[in-house]
Amino acid sequence: MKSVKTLIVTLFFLASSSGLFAQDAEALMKEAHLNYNYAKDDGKAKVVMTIVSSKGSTKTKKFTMVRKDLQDGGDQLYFIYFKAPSDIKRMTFLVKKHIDRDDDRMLYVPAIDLVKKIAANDKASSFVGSDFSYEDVSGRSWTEDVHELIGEENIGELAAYKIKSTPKKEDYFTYKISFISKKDKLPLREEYYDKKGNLTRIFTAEKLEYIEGVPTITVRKMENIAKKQYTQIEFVSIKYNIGVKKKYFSERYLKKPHAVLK
Amino acid sequence: MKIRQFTILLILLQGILSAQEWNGFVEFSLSPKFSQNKLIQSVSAVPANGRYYALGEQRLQLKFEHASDRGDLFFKIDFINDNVLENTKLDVREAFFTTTPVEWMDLKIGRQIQTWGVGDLMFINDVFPKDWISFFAGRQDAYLKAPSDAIRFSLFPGLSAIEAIDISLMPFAQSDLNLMTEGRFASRDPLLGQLLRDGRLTPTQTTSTEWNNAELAARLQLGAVKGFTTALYTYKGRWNNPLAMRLDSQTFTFSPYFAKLQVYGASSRGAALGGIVSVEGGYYYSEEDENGDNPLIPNSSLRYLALYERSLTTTLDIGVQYYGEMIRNFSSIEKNYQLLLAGNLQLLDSEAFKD
Repeated sequence: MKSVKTLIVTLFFLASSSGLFAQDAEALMKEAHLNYNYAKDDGKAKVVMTIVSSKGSTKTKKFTMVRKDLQDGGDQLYFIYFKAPSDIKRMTFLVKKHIDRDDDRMLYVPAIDLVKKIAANDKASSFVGSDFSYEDVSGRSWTEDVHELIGEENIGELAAYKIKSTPKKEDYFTYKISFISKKDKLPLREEYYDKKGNLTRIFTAEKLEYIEGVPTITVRKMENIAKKQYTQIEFVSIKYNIGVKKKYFSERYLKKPHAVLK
Repeated sequence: MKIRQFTILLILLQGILSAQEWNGFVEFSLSPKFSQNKLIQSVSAVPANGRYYALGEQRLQLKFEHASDRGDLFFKIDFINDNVLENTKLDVREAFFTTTPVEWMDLKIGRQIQTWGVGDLMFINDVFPKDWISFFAGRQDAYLKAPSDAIRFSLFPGLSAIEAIDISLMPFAQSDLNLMTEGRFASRDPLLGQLLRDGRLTPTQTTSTEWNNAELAARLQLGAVKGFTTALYTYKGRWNNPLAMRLDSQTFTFSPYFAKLQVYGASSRGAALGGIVSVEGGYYYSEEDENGDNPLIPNSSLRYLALYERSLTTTLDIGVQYYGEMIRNFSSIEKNYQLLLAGNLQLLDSEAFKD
């Protein structure tokens, strides 16, 4: 009896690794999207962002980022409290991510007590001056692309599915190749291509850790091929399910951030 | 005045001693003037270095923060060595205590920077003090906003129709740092249009510690409707610049002063046309010149602006802004001007000259 069970398990592993039970590419991308962007109900992390230019000079920004999901795979709230460098310290930034319309983005500049609404018509616009776009930070919905499983490959030591995603409507990239880890269903690498088939941007998951049991990519890198520069985002002191209230994501707390947001 | 400075100093010391965190920066600025205008050089009050430099200074800014359960203390102090005016000074830009005494109210007491309205470097309902010298001399944009000493209440009634009510009481009326006050720039006499030989215009009436100079600014922020946030504003105080002139009938000299002003306005801002659309309007009611016929006091006016902003590329945003002013009773200004040209002062369309 025991040997039969072992045989079935062995067969299952063989089958899955050889791609016999080819996963539905769309379901896989949805799972990866939820794992990567909607872990638990909320999360807080201290972020160290390093922008490395083509000449090798570096700029470092430090901030605290708090996320709250209003619905899994749906609307989200992000609050960013800047800590360094000195000239942006105490600045705050609020993003209300909407699925059905443009996001709301609001920046507060304490030095002049200014609440500024930021144009959000371009989801590819640079996130706080980095190589990451807003969409890279808050995630691109799987429903915007057509997905196709085109193979399997190892990224480092991790086995991954290779998926080609083509936007349904014309977008800032023509297609994207993603490598989704088989074990945790998280994106390990993404390659963005333009019309001519040139590689324009590369995302890599540099470090994967288990935080409160949640597989989390704690070091993320985005490389801009044309500009020959890259940005690395490191998440430290990550906490999930901190129970942050929805009301903290408002203009009142933008100007006077609650301790939980700092 | 002395009590005020002493109080600020005391709060400052308290803050520095108890600060949990402090940081800051050092900045060197230099902005040369490329054309040496002979006319400006003849103005005695423009300092020697000011003939060649709009700005030449070293600045050290220190920020202190102290958070506790009762509230937060914050200080921002600039130490400036000014090579144009040839002096050193300490500028307390911010020194305030902020607290939440009850769940539905935030309180901010002390020297603070206050801003509202939706314009981009254009202000209608924002009648808080501005530092035009910094702006035109080329300091960082943030220095355009001058601090005010205020008690500011922010109320959050928790209704969907009303987002917030802000009430700012400024016990000591504060004015702009306009280009005429420092001697860094030469300026013209607003009445005669001639260059002011001593380079300065000193208002007779100071807007300092007299209680009848207290100013009040309030804003009612309505809840968002279809992504558009709308606000209503009001202000009661004085013009921020000494635009009004008082005539001394004995000596027949004019001296500038800050006339009384009321402002009523509204603004709205939201996402539209693939970007952000903002509109703002305000009615400047010049209390002391209700009929607009006194040439020595600014007329009432209607001011409005529209702004459209959108991101063009991933790292470039563009904004287009339209601003307009409609001066009420403009015909009186024209008539007075014609009479002034004709040298017929007695016939001026004003009570001010009919003594």
